[in-house]
Parts: sequence; C-alpha cells; structure tokens
Amino acid sequence: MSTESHAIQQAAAEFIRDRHLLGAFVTGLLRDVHAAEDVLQEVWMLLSAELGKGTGIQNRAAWCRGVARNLIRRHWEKRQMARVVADSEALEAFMDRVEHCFAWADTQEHFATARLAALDECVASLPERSRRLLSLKYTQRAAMERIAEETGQSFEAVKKALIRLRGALLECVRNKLSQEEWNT
Amino acid sequence: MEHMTTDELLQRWSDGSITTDELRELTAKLAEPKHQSALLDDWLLESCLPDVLPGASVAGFHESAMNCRVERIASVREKCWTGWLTWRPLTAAAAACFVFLVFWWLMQPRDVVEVILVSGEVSWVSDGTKPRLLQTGARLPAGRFETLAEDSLLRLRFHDGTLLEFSGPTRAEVAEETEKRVRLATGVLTAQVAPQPAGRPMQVHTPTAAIEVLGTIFTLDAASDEARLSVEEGRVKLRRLVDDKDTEVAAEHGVVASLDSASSLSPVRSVRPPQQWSALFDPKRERVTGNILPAAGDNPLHVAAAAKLLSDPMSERPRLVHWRVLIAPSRKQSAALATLVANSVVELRWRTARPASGQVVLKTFRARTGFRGGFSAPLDASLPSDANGWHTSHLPLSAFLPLKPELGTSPIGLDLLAIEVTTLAESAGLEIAHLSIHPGTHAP
Repeated sequence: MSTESHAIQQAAAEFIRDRHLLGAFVTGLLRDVHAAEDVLQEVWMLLSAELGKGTGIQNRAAWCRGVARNLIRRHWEKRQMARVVADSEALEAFMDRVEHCFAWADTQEHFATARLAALDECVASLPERSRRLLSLKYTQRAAMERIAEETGQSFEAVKKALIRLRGALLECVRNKLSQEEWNT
Repeated sequence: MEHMTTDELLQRWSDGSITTDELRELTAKLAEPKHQSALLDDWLLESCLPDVLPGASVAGFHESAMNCRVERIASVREKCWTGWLTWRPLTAAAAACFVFLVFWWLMQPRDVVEVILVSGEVSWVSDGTKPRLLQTGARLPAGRFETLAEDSLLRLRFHDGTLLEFSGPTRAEVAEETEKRVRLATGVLTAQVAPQPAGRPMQVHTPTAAIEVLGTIFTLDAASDEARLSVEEGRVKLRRLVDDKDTEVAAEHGVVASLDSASSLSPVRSVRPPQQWSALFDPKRERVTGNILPAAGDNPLHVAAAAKLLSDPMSERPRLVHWRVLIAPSRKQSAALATLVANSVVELRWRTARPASGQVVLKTFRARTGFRGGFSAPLDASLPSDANGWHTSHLPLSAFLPLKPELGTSPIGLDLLAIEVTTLAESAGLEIAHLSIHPGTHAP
C-alpha cells in the first residue's frame, strides 16, 4: 500500500473513531440529522482530497470543524430556514463560542468515549418503555406526531416525556462521570 | 427580558425557536466552563444516543398494542383461573397451556416480506434484534435497513406479490399491518404493486412527500429535500408535505415534491433521455464526485478522482477506500443521463499518475422491469498518450460486462443513471478530461 493510501486509511479510521464529537458539533448546529449526515460525508470527502494532495493538516479535528462550519453556513443560506440567520453577527459569535467549547473537548482525554460508556449504562438502566420512546426518536428518527400515534400518547405527553428523559440521562451521565473522577 | 437557564436556551436552539437576543444570551453564558460543559453534554447526548439504543424497528411501534392484547388475555385468565382450579384442574391446565401458546404465537414477529434478490451487503434490523446480513430467500418481519454502496440492490416481495426494489445508498423501513407501509428516508425505490384491497392503499412516505398506491408500477427517488416520482403504469396519488397539496400522477408522467411550496406540483410527461450525452463537469448541471480542476496550460478542465469511504454497517472499520470520478444527473435535471442503444460508444479522455488498473462502470436502470445493474469495461493503459499523458478510449457497449450477470447481461435499451471511472484500493492519480456517450458509426 502506498504511503498516500495508508494516510487515507488511517485518516478514515480516525474520522470514524472521532465521529461522535464532530457529529455532535454538526448535528448540534444544524439540528437536522439528515443534513448533518450529508455534511459529515462532505467533510470526509474534502479531508481525503486534501490528504490525497499531500496537504499536511496539523489539527485535523479543528480543520474538520472549520470545513463543517462553512458547509453548515452554506446550508443555512440555501434554506433560509434559521430565524437567527437574519443576524449573522450573533450567529457567528455563537459559532465561535461553540468552536471554543469543542476545541477544549479535544484537549480532554477520552472526552466522548467516557460519555458514551456512561450513557450506555444510563440507557440500560431505563425501563423498556422509555428505551422504546428514545429509540423511536433517536434511532428511527420518527416525527413527534408519529411517535405520539405509535405510542398512543398525546403529542404534548410525548414531548414532555422526551424532555424529561433527556434531562434524566444528562443527569445520570454527569453523576457517573463525577463518580468516576472521584474514584480515580 | 426573562432570563432562562442554559438548558432552556439550548432547548430553544435545538427546536429552532430561539430569538436573536436569546442566542446572544446563550453565547454570553458559553464563556463560562460550566455552561460549555452543558452544551457539550447536551449535543453529545444527541450524537451518541443512536449508538447505545437497541435497534428498534417498525414492528416495535406496535409492541405496546401487542402487550395490551396480551394483558387483556392475561386478565381474563386471572378471573377464570380460580374457579376452574376448584372443579376441573385438567381443563384449567389445558386452558393455561392454550393461553400460553396464544401468548407465544402473538409475540412472534410475523413475516412480512421475502428477500428475492440481494446484491452487496445489506443489514436488516427488526424489533429489538441485532442487525443481520440479508440473504436471498430470507423471510423477514417488519424492519428497517440501510445500504451504503452505490451498487447495492435489495428486492423484496410481499405475500400478495407486490415487489419492491431498493437500489443504491438507501435508508428505509418496511412494514405491513392493515396496509403496506414503506418509509423511504433516502434512496431509489421501484415498486410493482399488486392491486391493493379497497380503502387500504400501500403508503409510501419520504421526508417531503406521502404517496398512496392501489396497484401500479412506479419509481420514487427520495432525498431529504425532495422526492421524484415517476409512474409507469396506473395512477399514484402524491401529497406534498410542505403545504399538504396533492396531485394524481398518471402513467408515463412524473412529479417532483420538494420543500419549496412555490414550485409546481403539476405532473409532466416522462421523456426518454437522449442517446447522446457529454459531461460538462459543472456541479450546477450535474452531480460530480471528484475534484474539479480548472483548465491550465495544455491541460483542459478536468476532474481528479476522490476517495470514497465505504463504511461497514456491521463494524466501525472502513471496509474499502476506492478512488473515483462519478457523474450523475443533477437532482434538478432528468433522472437519467442517456439512453443506451446498440451502437452507443463511451468516449473518455483520462490519465493516471502511476500505472494502475482502472475501469469504467455504467450504472443502468429500466423502470418498467425494476432492473438496475452495473456494467464495467477495463481501461487500457497501453493506449498511446499525448504529451500531457492523456489517453483517449472509445468503448463500445460490447466491451462492457455485467457486474452481476444474474441481474441482466446487456446494457442495451437501458437508461444510464450514472457513469463512474475508478481505480480500486490505491490512489493512482486518476483524472478525467472528457466523458461522453454517442451513437457510433460501427456495427454493434
């Protein structure tokens, strides 16, 4: 295998390994999982093209976020859908701050994997009904109306249940992480 | 202004209801580490949840209803149990066994479709089960699947003979309760629908459209921002989700339902693509996969191959990275690039930085039969090249062999959906300067 191909293979493995943080950045900003998947694929294509050209990229995570940010901006401009797009200054300031948050996360060892492991335990401790609700929302990406229809609950009840579950999971993850910090 | 917590502001950002003032407030809060952590935890939760949740399926939606049925039977059993025990223990035991068998039978997922043909790796997830790789002949309960490869193909058959064919990268769910239901998040579906019972048409949902089918042949190309419906036979009712407008699409007509409510929803007559086509390498006119490089010196405008990551749905490791230039119709243009006829010739100008084996792949389609398959011809690196290393190849259709002979042996008469020039596994610096299809003067 050529050095160039080896670099691409390695980059692909790292890209997939680090997908949670970049995925969180893109999905968090875009708020549209399908568009986020497109952006992630596009980021990979651009990254692999750059590596193919032999470009040295010092901080790959920051580079990927920079590219993703441009793609997200383009997506917003095309759709004209974000209410806040009208004030691009406020949006840019927000994105800068978000970038700062993720840059800090890059410096923390096992930041995403520790949260993933904690979340796994927290989800496992939930009752079956709650797991099913989360599955409909986050695995199957069903619309709220459909979840309400499928679970036989009202739209409002489903919305509240999901907000409660999300809050409970966040709390559980934070508790587990602080417990681990304490133990170590 | 009433001040909100970081979680409330993040929730507002997440549901798109945040105002500019609230966004400024959130930005200001994010200067503090504890609020930064709140944002990271919140957004990572969203990103990580799909990885830790069990793979639920369409069938799972109905599990609650199923449990209710089981609970009702259980409560009947409870009421009767005591009385039976006192005077007829054997009958009671037999009844308990019967009820148990009914429970067991009710809890079994019902087979909905049979796999008629699968090409490429397709993993299927049914209620609460782990993903399984599909094989021809498998009978499946309701479930969902995702394919990533351009040449993947999955053909399914319902009990009444209705055929569904999903091709290319696809994300979909299939179920049958009172009526057949398909949710096509992305991908191309060709369906040959047997006549459906009155009042229970087959339902197909995409992110932008919902269609009802009583019995027909149609093709639906779905993406997150639009759905392109093309009807071969019969009639299909389509509802555009953005404004709830609907229309009926007759045979040999098509319609596009996008997120733009101002766009026309009037069906237009389907037109066969032309027999002649030439790539423009213009992303506004066609979908180009590769890096477009402007003309410079003696080199014309050309496209350099880009790496394609094919991730393995069964593991986290990338399975293959190959290098390709792919040209497909823009979503705004027709569904196919060209019609392939007996004397069609593929002409291309290409070069590689290093010697490598390469190939041209024609991705073809014929809606009426649901056929879709690839045909490939090798690139001959021994051809003479000009001073800049460019080779010119003329490939008649006879040079193309089927990638999957079981799908069809000849591309003649088929529509060309996309054309791909590729070198496998390692980057050979493949570049394409010209790509066209035209009827040749030679005998086929």
